[in-house]
Amino acid sequence: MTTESYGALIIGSKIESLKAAYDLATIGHRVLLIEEEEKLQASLEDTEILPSGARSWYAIHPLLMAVRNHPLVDIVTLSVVDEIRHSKEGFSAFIRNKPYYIDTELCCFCGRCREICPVELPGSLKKAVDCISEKGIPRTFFIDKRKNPPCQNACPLGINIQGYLALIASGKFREALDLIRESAPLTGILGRICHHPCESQCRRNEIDEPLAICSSKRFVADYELENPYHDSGTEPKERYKERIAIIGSGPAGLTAAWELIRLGYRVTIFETLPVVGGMLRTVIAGYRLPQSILDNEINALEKMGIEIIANCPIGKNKGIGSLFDEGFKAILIATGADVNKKLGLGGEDLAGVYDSIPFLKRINLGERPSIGKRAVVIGGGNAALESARTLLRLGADEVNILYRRTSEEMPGDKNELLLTMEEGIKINYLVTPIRFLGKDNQLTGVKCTHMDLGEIEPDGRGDVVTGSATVVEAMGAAKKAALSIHRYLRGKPWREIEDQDETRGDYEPLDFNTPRSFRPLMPVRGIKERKDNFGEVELGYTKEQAIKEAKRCLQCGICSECKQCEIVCQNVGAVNHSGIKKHTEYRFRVVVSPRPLAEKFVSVLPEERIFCESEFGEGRRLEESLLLGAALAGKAAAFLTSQMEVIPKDSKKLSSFKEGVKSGLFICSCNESSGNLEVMKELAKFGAGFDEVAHSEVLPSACHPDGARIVADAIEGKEITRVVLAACSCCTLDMICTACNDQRLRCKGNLFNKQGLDPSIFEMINLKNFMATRRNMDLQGVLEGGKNMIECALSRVKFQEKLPGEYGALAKTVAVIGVTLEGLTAGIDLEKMGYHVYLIDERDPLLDKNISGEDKFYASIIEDIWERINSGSIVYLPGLQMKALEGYLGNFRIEFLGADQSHLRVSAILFSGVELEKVPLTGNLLRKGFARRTLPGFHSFSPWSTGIPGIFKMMVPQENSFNKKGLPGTAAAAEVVALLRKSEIRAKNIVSQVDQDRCRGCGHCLEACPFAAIEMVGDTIEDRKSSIIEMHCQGCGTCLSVCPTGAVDTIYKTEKQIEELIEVMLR
Amino acid sequence: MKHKMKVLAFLCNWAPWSCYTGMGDLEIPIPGEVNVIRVMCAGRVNTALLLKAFEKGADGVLIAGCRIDNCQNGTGPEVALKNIDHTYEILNLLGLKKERLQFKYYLAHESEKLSSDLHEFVERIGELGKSPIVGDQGNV
Repeated sequence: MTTESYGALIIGSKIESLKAAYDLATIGHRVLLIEEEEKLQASLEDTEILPSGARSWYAIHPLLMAVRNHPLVDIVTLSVVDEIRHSKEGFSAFIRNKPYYIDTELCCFCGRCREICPVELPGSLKKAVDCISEKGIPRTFFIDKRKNPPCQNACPLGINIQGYLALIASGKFREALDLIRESAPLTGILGRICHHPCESQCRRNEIDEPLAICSSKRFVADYELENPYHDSGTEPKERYKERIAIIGSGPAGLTAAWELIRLGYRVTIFETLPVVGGMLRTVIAGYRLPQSILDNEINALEKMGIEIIANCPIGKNKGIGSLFDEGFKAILIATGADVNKKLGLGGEDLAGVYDSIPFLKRINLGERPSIGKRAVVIGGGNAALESARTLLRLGADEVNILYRRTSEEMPGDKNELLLTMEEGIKINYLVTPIRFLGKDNQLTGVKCTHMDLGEIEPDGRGDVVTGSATVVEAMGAAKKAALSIHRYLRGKPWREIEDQDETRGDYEPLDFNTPRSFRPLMPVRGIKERKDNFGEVELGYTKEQAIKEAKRCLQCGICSECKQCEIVCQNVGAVNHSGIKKHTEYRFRVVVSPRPLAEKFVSVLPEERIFCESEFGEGRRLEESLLLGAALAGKAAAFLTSQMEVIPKDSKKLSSFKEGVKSGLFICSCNESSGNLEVMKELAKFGAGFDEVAHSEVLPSACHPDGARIVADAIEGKEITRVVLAACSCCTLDMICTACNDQRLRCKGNLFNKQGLDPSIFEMINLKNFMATRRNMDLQGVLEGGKNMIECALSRVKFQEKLPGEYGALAKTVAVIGVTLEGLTAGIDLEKMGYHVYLIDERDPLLDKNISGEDKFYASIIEDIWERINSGSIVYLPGLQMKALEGYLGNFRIEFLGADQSHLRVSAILFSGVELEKVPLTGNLLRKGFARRTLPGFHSFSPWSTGIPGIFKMMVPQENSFNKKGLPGTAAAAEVVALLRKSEIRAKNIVSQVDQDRCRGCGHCLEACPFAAIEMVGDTIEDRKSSIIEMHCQGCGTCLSVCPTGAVDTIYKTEKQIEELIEVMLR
Repeated sequence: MKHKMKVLAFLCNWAPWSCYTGMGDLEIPIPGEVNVIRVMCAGRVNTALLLKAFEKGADGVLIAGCRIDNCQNGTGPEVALKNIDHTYEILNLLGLKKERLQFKYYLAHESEKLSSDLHEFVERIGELGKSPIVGDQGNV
């Protein structure tokens, strides 16, 4: 990957940075804007209220959007600069991004992720995935992910427990089961017999009682049995030819087989016994795990394609080597370790003394040995409890458990212990056998002794049910073994280094005010009904119990990764849960930062490459912030001048404007969120019914790059000449207004810049807003209204006219009128940026070369300006009084009183310290004056504006320390160059035009135009006609509303189009 | 049967359009009688368009512009008011009540105000009844 290269790196996104970014980019430098927070800070809505009553946020908003939309600006949010290094080409910044887990360039802001997210944060309306900002940049969502929850960390299989609990809580039982199955097979088995190490780690332990995680798992497995659905399963990504043999069909063997078949291998299990399931079938009693459940789970695995061969011991007759001969490429031995330790007591060989595991095995395989009336079980693990309860069911009248410690130390499951005691089995604590008594080699009794509770031996005897490990641990180990086999066969390293997402934060602190609540009581069969048979004892939670219990989850990891959002976003594909933090290198030449730069960066960068004015503190007024931003841009631009970028032009224009109407209608469903999908489809069908409509479809998302591609393909394939796009964009213009947002801009950018389509052929209507303001209406009403809107657009688009293209380069000449400190600094900076500067004053203030006295900075400016005057790069014209000023941006004509050089032509004029009222405006500017647009509160706030495009006034804030440094001059210079550059490249597609045949030359339009965009042409009074100065025209249409003959019209939204619109609307 | 009123609302692209999209963001309902037309400036709505609207059967027309000192173009609301005054004279000649044509000012954040103004306007037009130009049949 090549490293992106930028002119300027701008750190932070306050108004100052945004202004600097916009001006620098408009002047022609590539800018990378880096923001630490998740959105640009200037999108804060609580900024000041302007004197006009408008919220300043709405004045800034177009600037924010313009920065977002500028082709030379790239924005990285949630990012920090880690390091700056000197490189051969200049400087490199290493930037660390935190993931949103949502692609901000794809998100269409439909909100469906938030809607479906089951994680509601306690005490707020927030969810795990929530909106960052309604109007800011980026306009998107953010997933709050913390460390993995403790329950998941404790699970040897890594099951996403919080996730499935969240799904159960929202009634999505199938989804919960699917989520479990992403990490583990045998759900119904685990849900019954897992020793649930997760529950002991549950943070709810510290408040009341841990979640009933295991029983919740059982619930979803049982739910599937009662409500079966066709699960086609996910196909492996790849299929491999290798066959793998697994010896043993216990939980480990089954799990390994499951993992391997999902990876794409062919798997065969060899089982010694005639029955499948290993200890699950032979050791665990049916009243805990019914055979039918086991059969079901094994069937499911066989359906996945796992081959199980029973009655096939590997070892004696058929050796492991023979498996290799048969073509197996890897063999996993998963036979478990069900060997019991002998007690080492006298009489252990008497008939009637059994080892628990072989005993249970015999029973489970169907044997029913005679066991007498009284039985004793030695030990306190699950096997002991299991044996005792089995003995009871075989007909023993009295069963005693002997355990050498107290109930506290008992390793068996507490719940099982309760059930055991319930069934009348007596537990004798602190009792241990000394030896077995017998007669005729037949057990008759046990001699015991009383124990004192001592220290537990370090080797501590664990649960012997599976030998050294529990079911879930065996399964976890098997999963790892399967992955190792996969790595071995694919030639991958033995252990893969996993990319850890280090950006995740810690859990929220526990709230000890959380209301106490306890898990529901597990329904069980009555003692009488269960005592004499092997039917299942626990009956499982009801739906209501399961939901209630799942809602107790504290949601430690916040996002539970239930992936529901990923599913609802699949058409857009913006959600990505595996967002990994990225380190990216960007090359740059200068750094601009309104705030002080960190010392570690200052030490690397030469002083002249840092543009930072930090000593002015906070709390600036809006216009001061803009001034500082522009000044930073001006300084940086003066430094960067030698390397201006050319704005990338559209390489292809797929559809240049053609006569003849063949329309396409595209309706954006905004990922099926903007309105009822059936209504959207009906609207598309309705549109298709018009004769001129050649194509009509509903798009999943018009602001998605694929949406733009679909539109472009249809235009090309069907030779469409007019397009109606009913999405959320309101217009086709490149103008940015207060209502615009990220998605609307992106939609237009994808269509017009990336796909190179011609905006002239488009009509855009904001159907999303239409739908949103009609949520309360019945669908029929919405449909009728929508049809009318579509019909209006389709008839309007027929009258579309070709919008004008680009303008050529403007002369690089600027007049600075008024020699003040600011005027001089502006002159110097304009010259540095490559402009020819005329420095004009009525007097000759530079004559004595020292007009302000002792100020050092001023003295250096005077010295600098004289150098430039002497070298001829700045033309100094003292003692000139203006006689006339007329013309327009790119071509102003200034006439002087009685001077040799009687007039001057410049592209722009900057007044500094001049009373604007006294400027002799003539010609087309005669009636204008400078009153307009100097009021605060304009939507596109420019304190330098005079109301006449191309004529600027110096803005000098009162009592501001940065005035002394000449910053207002630099700012104004940047502003002048930015406007000139923008006018050269911007396609002005909203200008008015005059029909010369209908124009009577009355001049009403000239009077009404607020922008001096109209001049009267013609030599005689009869020939007098008005003419539009496109450079000034803003397309407001005021001129045509005052034209008595209908000669003036706007190209965008012509009179004819609006008439057509009214007609169709009122039909 | 009571005929549904037909109301046109010309919204300036700046503050009023921002209020309208704000209504969408907040899902504030708009009266079903209202048809919205976006124009680049309130000053662009000329007498011809206003008369066209009444000719085609509009029962009421509302022009929403920016507050005078907030106009993006400077003169929009002033020009709009002039145009409306001019139109009033013609409406008078046609026998149409002045109340059927209204001008309202907005700031960009006033979505609630736009909504309540539209509801009020629709109600007022309802009280006035169908436009006499079209008559009760809804046809010319």
